[in-house]
Amino acid sequence: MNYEAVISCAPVPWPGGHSFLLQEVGPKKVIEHWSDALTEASHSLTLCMNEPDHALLDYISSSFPLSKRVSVRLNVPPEAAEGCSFFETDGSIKLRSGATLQPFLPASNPAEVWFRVVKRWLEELETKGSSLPEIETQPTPGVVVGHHCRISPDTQLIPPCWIGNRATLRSCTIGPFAAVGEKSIVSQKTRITNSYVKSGTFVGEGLCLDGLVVGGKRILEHSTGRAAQIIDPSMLCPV
Amino acid sequence: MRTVGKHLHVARILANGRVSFPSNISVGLEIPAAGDLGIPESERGLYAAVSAPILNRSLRGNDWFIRRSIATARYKHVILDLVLVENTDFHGLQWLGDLRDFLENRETVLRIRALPPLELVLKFAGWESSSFAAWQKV
Repeated sequence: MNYEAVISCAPVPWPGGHSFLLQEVGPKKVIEHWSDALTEASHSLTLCMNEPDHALLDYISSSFPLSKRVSVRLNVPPEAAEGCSFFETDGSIKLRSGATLQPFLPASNPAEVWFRVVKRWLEELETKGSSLPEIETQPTPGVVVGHHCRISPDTQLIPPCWIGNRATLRSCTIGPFAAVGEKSIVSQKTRITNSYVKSGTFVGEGLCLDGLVVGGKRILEHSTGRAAQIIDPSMLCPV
Repeated sequence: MRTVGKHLHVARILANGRVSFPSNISVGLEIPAAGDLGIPESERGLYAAVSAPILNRSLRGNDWFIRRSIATARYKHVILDLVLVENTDFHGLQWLGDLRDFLENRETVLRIRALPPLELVLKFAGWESSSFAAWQKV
């Protein structure tokens, strides 16, 4: 069965500036998690774009795995679709047969929905693992560590949490509900809870990340959508 | 308010809720009423405003008036108004942290009034929500 989804590419304030569907959720993007959910149930997905999102189109055409059954349509069909797929406020993916089409995101803050997607993924890590379980380790249940990471012995990892490949953690506390993206560096005495450090980010010493998304030089409170810029590279900067 | 150093302005909040030091120097701020600040009638407070756009090392050494006032006049409350401050670097955070430690050692309560982006940066640097009172919303 094919499910359709109405995509609008509204600007998002969070670090990186990409659209919702290209935000990281561990080693994958949101669009991949969405298509995985449909592929598992032998369904396909058609994205109906109100206006073209070139970054998303490029990603799907160039680097999206062919095995995932996702197609793109540059308009929204006027007639009722076979089925409709969308995200709920709690971050879950919904499939509705024979429904009229509705926007793929609820009207609430998109960063909040995105972090709920992340939280759901973190909760399932212990049982499902991430995309590459053969090269990841789980030192304790719910703590997933990628390959070529450098973690000092006094670093505390509290489940659920995920550490991306080639990350460096020094005497810090990570978790619960924390993700550190690939090639990121977290300095000593920093605590990260209920937060996401995007790939390739340096996080300085003695900081407190609680309820934040950080990446590049920007921080974002995912529950409110409030954002701020960090001007001191010793606190936060791209690697 | 009275300018006591580069980018630093102070006013005394008296026990009866009145504000002294209302000089002619305007930094574009309105001092909230003492009742709104939550200062008990029996206690006095010091209201300090920073007018620099960025909190950085230039403020170091300018806070002598706050420290001397706390030591001599025994203020129980210091209200630090950062509404005109857009951002801070590491040195600015260090200055704020040093000031907080100095005041804590003298059992003086420090509360900060800041715009949401700066408040987010301060929380990122480890400042707790209790440091920002309800009246700070501007």
